[in-house]
Amino acid sequence: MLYRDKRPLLVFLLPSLLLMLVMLYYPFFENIVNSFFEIRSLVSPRETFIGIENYRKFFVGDATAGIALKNSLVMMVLTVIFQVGLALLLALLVNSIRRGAEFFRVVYFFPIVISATAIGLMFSLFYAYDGGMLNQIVTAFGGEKVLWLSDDKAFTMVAIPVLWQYVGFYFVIILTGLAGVPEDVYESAEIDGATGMKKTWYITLPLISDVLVTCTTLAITGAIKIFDLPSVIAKNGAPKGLTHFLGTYMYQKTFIAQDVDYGSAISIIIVVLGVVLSRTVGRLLSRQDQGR
Amino acid sequence: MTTAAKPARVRGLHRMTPGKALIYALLILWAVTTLFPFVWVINNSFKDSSLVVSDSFTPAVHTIYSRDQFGRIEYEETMKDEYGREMYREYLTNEDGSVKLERDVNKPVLDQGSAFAGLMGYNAQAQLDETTADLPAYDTSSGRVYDETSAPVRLSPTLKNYVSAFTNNNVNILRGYRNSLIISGTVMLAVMLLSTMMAFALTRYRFRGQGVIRSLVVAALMFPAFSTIVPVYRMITNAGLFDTLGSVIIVQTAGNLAFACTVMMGFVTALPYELEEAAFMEGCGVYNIFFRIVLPMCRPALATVAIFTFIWSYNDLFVQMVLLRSKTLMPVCAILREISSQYGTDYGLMAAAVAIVVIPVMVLYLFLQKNIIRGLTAGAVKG
Repeated sequence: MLYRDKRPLLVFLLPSLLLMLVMLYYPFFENIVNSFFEIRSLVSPRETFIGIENYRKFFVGDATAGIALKNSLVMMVLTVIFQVGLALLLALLVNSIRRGAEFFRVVYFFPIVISATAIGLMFSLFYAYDGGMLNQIVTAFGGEKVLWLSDDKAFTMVAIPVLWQYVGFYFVIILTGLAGVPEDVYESAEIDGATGMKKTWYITLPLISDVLVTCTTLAITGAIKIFDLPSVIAKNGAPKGLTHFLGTYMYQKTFIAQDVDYGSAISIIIVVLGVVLSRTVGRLLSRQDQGR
Repeated sequence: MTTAAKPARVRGLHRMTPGKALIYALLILWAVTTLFPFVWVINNSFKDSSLVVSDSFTPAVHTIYSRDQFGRIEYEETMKDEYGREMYREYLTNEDGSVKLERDVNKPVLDQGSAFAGLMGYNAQAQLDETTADLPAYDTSSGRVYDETSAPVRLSPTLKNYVSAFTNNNVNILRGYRNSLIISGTVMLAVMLLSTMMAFALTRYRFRGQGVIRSLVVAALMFPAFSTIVPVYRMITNAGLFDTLGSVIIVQTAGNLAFACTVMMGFVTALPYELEEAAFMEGCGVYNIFFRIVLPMCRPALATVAIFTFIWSYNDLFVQMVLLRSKTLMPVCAILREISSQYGTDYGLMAAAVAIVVIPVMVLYLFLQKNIIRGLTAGAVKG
């Protein structure tokens, strides 16, 4: 009876609802429409209808877009292997010790609270050709200075800090999952003679599989939205667009080249890819679980 | 087998098996990998740029001077000799960092002549007479310069990078901090209030369209900023809000509402209804119930939302880059990006800029790490 009077409902609901409709839903759908029209600049209106031209251009007519798409997809695979993989390894190790577990948790998570922009700046100090940290090490051992952001190395060099920064995030999630595994499961396994690796493989991993699926999905959706780090370390996809990701390429096309409709199309590709890939992978992985 | 395992487990706390040692070694290795970059950058923020590029690994606790006109750097390290007297180890190096001279000196060199002799000792004897007049001399223990013509610069430790980061009119980090606090603080408070109100409405009331609105909230979680930014940019420009702090606040608030509301809904549903009922019986109105009972009870979930929103907004470079042009309005992250594109060769300034961003966050993190870790992983560990 307290909540039978519906008038306060408006007061509670309306501000957030309006904000979401105006600042999220309207622009989202407007953006979809925009991607099918010719738009000359950020402030000019929609002009002629061009259909799926932008999407066609993205997939067949634009080499840099191909690189950006490939980089984003490769990045997804790398995040799953290195971030989630390394995080799982570290979490299993930390879970097996008693002393210092809290210390490692705090240390490993730390890079996540630092803005990716600051981390990007830091890594550009490592990569600098003249007197960067890496080249100081190389020359100290008598080597020749290396151009770390050269054509063939740039992608790897941008990928490293991205991967490095977020290991701790998945580590904490997996560790929380491991803490939820009841102790008596291990005890009964020990009675049955399971030890070490066997215990991990047959008991721990299946029990935390849903956590691992969550991590994988998060890693995929995270990888497709990468923006800050590459945009600081290698500006505008330097060199030659080789370090462009979907996010940075969308920014470049929309706000620097002012090819607004094309940028909108790229942003929709980001959303669709993110949703489709994370759903598919999530579903595939959880089905596999049930089969086991 | 079982009986053998049991006592080992009890005593295992103090026994270091090779396996355990390997585990610790691996864990420490990753901890070092995690911390080393930050230590390196903070260390170098106290050095002159010319040192950062030549000698970035030495701790910035040794006093190092330079004399630029020769392109050579003099290093100095304070030590104590076996009798406890102050001693200096001096190095004279080439531009590329290779050591030309290394020797120990027993007491501070104070007068011009001996300072020169001490520093130039290896080959100065021949040139001494002709060049003495032009060379600067200084008190090596206080850094005071005796010759006005060319002042030797103290390269390490120095606060010069911090001074320039705080006073540079173009990229002033202090101003960036002020802007960041205004933006992220407002976004945080707005999101906390609005999301709790919405969660309260969606869980306590029953009304037509409730399901639709709930799914609208959940679906909004999937919109990255990329997919809304162009129309948002146009609306903001048309409203005359482009390049104002307010524009970033509105856009970021909207962007965080959906997530915050999902977290709050989970929490409000679990709150006991009886308290509100009792308050209503006492004659308390709905608004009073919300602000005096529900909101205070939500404190744990609000902490999660607050931390998540604040950090997310603080780190969100994309929206800041799109909606702000004036350097005076830029928050910290946008300033950092500006520094990297305009002062990308001033390594000392860059290191100081990173350190200025890292150190306060590090201090906050040490105090609030439990809450911060919980807040940031809230999306993944649903609860």
